[in-house]
Amino acid sequence: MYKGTTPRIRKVLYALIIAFALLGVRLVFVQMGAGKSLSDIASNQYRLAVSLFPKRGVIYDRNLKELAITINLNSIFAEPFRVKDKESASYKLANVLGVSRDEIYKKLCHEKGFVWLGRKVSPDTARAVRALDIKGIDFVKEPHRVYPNGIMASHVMGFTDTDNNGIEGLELKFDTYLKGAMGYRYAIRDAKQREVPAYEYKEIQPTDGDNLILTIDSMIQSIAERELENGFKKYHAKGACIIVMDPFTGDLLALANRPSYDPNNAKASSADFRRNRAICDFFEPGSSFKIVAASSLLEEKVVQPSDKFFCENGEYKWCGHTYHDHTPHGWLAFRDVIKLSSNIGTMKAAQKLGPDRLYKYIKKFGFGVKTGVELPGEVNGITTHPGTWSKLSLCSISMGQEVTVTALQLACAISVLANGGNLVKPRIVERIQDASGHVLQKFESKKPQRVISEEVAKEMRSILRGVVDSGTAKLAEVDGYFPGGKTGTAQKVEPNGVYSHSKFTASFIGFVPYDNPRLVIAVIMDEPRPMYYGGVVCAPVFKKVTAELMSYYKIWPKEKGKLEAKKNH
Amino acid sequence: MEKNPNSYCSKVLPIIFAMTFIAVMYVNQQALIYQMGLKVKQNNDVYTKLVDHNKILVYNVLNLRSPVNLERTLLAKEVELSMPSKWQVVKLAKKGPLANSFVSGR
Repeated sequence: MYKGTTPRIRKVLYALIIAFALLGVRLVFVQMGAGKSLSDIASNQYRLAVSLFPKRGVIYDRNLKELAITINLNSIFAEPFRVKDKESASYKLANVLGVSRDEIYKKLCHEKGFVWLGRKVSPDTARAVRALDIKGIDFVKEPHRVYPNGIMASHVMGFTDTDNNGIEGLELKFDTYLKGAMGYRYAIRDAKQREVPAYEYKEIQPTDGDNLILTIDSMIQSIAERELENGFKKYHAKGACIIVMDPFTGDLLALANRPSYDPNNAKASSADFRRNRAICDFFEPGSSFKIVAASSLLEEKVVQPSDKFFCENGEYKWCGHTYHDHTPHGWLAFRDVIKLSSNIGTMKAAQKLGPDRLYKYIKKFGFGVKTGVELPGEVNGITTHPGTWSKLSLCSISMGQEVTVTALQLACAISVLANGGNLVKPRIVERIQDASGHVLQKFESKKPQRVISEEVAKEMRSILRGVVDSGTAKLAEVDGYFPGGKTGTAQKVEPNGVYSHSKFTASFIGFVPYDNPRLVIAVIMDEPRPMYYGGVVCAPVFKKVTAELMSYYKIWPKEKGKLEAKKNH
Repeated sequence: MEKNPNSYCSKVLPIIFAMTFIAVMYVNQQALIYQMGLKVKQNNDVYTKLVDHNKILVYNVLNLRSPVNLERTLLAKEVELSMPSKWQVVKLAKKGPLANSFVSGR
């Protein structure tokens, strides 16, 4: 073997054999020892995972009109190392994006391989940036939540953050249903990091979010918001809210607050503007709470509507404390005590009832506990146990002091009178259905709880009709529709614990028509100025909303004579 | 016995040709797949773009149709509208001799 080969060739041959042997050893080492990690590094270089965004569910009103939808907008990013003339690029981009040139220049000089220049910009802006044709500037589509009605029902809907997570309102409460699940596509990329379309080897489809169907009627919401806004501005109130509700089912047809905000640009508003006052704020209701004392007195048959009470000509001393009526009265029938909102008459009647029975009815009317509406942040309000009451408490509570409630609790309480004596659970979400229309969850109205008898509810409606007809809420009268309701004007408590003489909470809670109620409306204004009576500030809002809603429901006005004849009959 | 180099070539060459042909076909197939994928992607991009554009247009329509926006527009143009009274509403009779005429809501 190898006979005739020169020693030099043999040496080369040996060297080659040794070199190949070493390479072989190295190959075995690489394959056996570091094969897995090297294979991972290689696959990371050519494999690509593309995120597939799910569509966030749509929020509809009760007539399936869209209240919140999702659109795809372009986000603009830069790969700084690819941008050659940074100064010129930052100058051009600053003009289009409306951001300072220095800010963009700083981003373009960043060491990172990727920087955002603008998230979810408008189609016009994206088009203008594309027209600049700058190398290293690119676009990516991102889903963006939009609210076509702007500020309308903003406190109900809430809003989402940049990454489409629910932050407030129903967007937060039902985030898990609405957001859906991300999908991924695993593909191969080329040397320029672009996806090679033919080499997709796995795709997990995204699951679109479920849709919410609310009980809100966008037309009613719009009317309620407009009239609340007018009242809020006219009386320079610090805050205001309105609730329109179906007293039989508990369906919330409208819920609005002022001040408000545009959920399309929620960042621009303060947290105070974004608070859902109707369920998050509690306040002393004042005289509108007298419906509780009056109903319980009639239900327990402690008084009759015709029983007379002496109202002390407007000033009454009790346990070292002097109580006042805003207008002095002498002898009044119980019916008129409520109609004219006499504090003295109410407290004298309440003394016949006693603390335990009053407390029992406060609880039965749903005060002191959450109503259970499908909105986040609801508070209980405060109702203390009679064991902790002072000698004055019975009198104070009967006229709406020493107790705090939310606007929604008041709306539910007046619904008890409107629907014939039952407490209904309010609801704002009717159902959740998936993208193909299958109902996933239905929010059925809960079985109502009996609070007072039908006869007492009817009697109370008749008394409250008198409040509007000839009592403290004449400004709530709507010709031909015969609404009923109760006004409230409560002094607010100053930080030092005494009742303020300049800050009030005005309220009006009512129903219409009084003989066969279709709707319940609660209007609350916080610190209205210069007028502050519920009958002056809130009743006109009720009136205007009622007038429009009756036409909207095609309920035509009745002639007064006919109704009175029917009543006498 | 000495081997004939020509017969050796006649056996190897067809194999080389066949393998080359298969390789060229494979490359061609991969190129076609790539082209088709690219076309599908381009069509998909156009489709997505149109869908996105459609969504934005739908949003614009919803925005214009929203009661808040309509009210703002009407107020700006000083057009005052209110809900109609009963006497202002007419309804069409569904059946009978008056089917083609309209009847007062009263």
